Amino acid sequence: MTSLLNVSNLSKSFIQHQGFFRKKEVMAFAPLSFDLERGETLAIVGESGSGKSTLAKVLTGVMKPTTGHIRIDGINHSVQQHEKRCKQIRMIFQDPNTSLNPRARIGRILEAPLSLNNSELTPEQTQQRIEDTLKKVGLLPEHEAFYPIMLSSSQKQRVALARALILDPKIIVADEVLATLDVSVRSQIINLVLQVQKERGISFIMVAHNIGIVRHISDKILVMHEGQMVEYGDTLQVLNDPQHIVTKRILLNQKIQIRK
Amino acid sequence: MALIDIRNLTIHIHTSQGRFKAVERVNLTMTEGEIRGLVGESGSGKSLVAKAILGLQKDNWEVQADRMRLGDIDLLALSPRQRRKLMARDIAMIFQEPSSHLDPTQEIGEQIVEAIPFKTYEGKWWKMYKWRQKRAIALLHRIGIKDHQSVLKSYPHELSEGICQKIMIAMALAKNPKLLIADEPTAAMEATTQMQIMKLLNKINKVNNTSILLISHDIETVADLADSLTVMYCGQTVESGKKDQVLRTPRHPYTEAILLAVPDFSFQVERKSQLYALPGSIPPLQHLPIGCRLGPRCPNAQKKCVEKPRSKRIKGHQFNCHFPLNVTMVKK
Repeated sequence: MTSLLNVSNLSKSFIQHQGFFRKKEVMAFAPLSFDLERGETLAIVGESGSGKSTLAKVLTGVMKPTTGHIRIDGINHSVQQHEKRCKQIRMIFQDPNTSLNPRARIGRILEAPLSLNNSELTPEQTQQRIEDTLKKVGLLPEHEAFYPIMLSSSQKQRVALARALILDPKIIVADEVLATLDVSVRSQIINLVLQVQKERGISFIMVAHNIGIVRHISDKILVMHEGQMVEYGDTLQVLNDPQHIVTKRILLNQKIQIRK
Repeated sequence: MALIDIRNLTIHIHTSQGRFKAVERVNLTMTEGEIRGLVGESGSGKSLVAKAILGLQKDNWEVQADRMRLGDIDLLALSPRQRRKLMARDIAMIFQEPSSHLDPTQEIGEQIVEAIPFKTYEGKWWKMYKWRQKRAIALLHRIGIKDHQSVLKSYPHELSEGICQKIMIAMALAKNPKLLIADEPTAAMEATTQMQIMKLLNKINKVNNTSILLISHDIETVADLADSLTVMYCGQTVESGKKDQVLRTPRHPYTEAILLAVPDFSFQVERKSQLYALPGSIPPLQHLPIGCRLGPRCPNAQKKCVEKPRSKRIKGHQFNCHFPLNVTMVKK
């Protein structure tokens, strides 16, 4: 049986032009391969500048990969049409305050992915779908008429999650979603993610900082350092017995023990 | 002796929509050489408290307090001019997002030199040639920057956030303050830099016996460094006490909630299980509930909670709750 998401030899490099003829290739991340099963969570951990955000963008299709393949259910990602692809893999961005259009009501924000993807829904069905999704993420159907500015940051993050969920994707990529949230709001969002995952069997790919949360929510972990994948495996196994020095260092830094 | 003693600090903010009580009756006491963590979520008024201590209030603020003392000086009785002088001498503050608080048009070296006051010069007058420059280099060495030449010559945008924060700390240290207020010093920094900054603050505390008021939204980051903790919610102090008291036996439901929300706080939670979370979200300033402001979100709230609870104290552990947790002996 093939796994839900199969990534092989994926890499991304940027070309910097220096002068007229010279150019320099900058490797964002070196070729890497991993698998993700249905209903599992993969955490991508690394320092800043290690290429984890670029990896997230390439996976969602915001950027084209330089080499390698992304296969979802055995079908090659890059040859598919764009509309089809984004129904299967969706992204949530870091800052909910800036990722939602401030001049559109929540209803329109949620309707956009439905109408842009030519889904054959009648207006009534679209409306129904929006209301259902809002309820699923713990908001009320009335919130449809609100502008993003009228919501708190946790509610905005819920809207962002609703926008990702509305097309019924198989995979959601979340880029540092939890980093900017307050503690009590953060656990609400974690609970929501876990609940959605349990109910619908959606796989999550999370770029994260906090090792405690990674340990709690993820099944697999991918540690990156300067564009290289240094460690990949089962979360508990990796965190309990880190092999690579970078992983050890990340773990050590998280447990700040200055006093003892 | 208490270095900072604040009793019933209340801050009203005048806005176009009316007058709001942003901070309500906050108490804060710090002894010399203490590191106190001030923990609260965004909008809990922790930065307002810090600014009130510094006297950095804006025109639309109204700061009231029953008592506000720095050492043996009554801050409320001072004229603004005297107060500014005092603040320049005894208190230093470091801000979050250091790169935006440094002057982008000036070299780091000039900025540090500018921050060194003349009064800190200890030496003979004939050795005064370029003493500020020498002092600036010494300060950089003290905060762990070895390559002083290139740092002094660079502009803030050329340096990383971590180094900028270290420079802010160096500028704060230049006047040997009694109290250092660190407002989210490690916000939006990665773990390695965060640890460096925390270690540096710890070293300053140990070597100079500087008291540090460490403000953060994340109890994890301050828990290790701080001696004592004060937790704030929506402008009210919820709980304050020694670190172990607050972490081991939280008395207030809010403190318990933020401790349980952190999965690796030695609580054995099953993986992928639902975390403990308070329902609802932080109320905006315009719609604050009366009484205990946690009321609508609190799992143990009862009718009595519409009155603001008086602060109670058990063995120096202060809490504001009608129905405290972890208290075996019920007082009448």
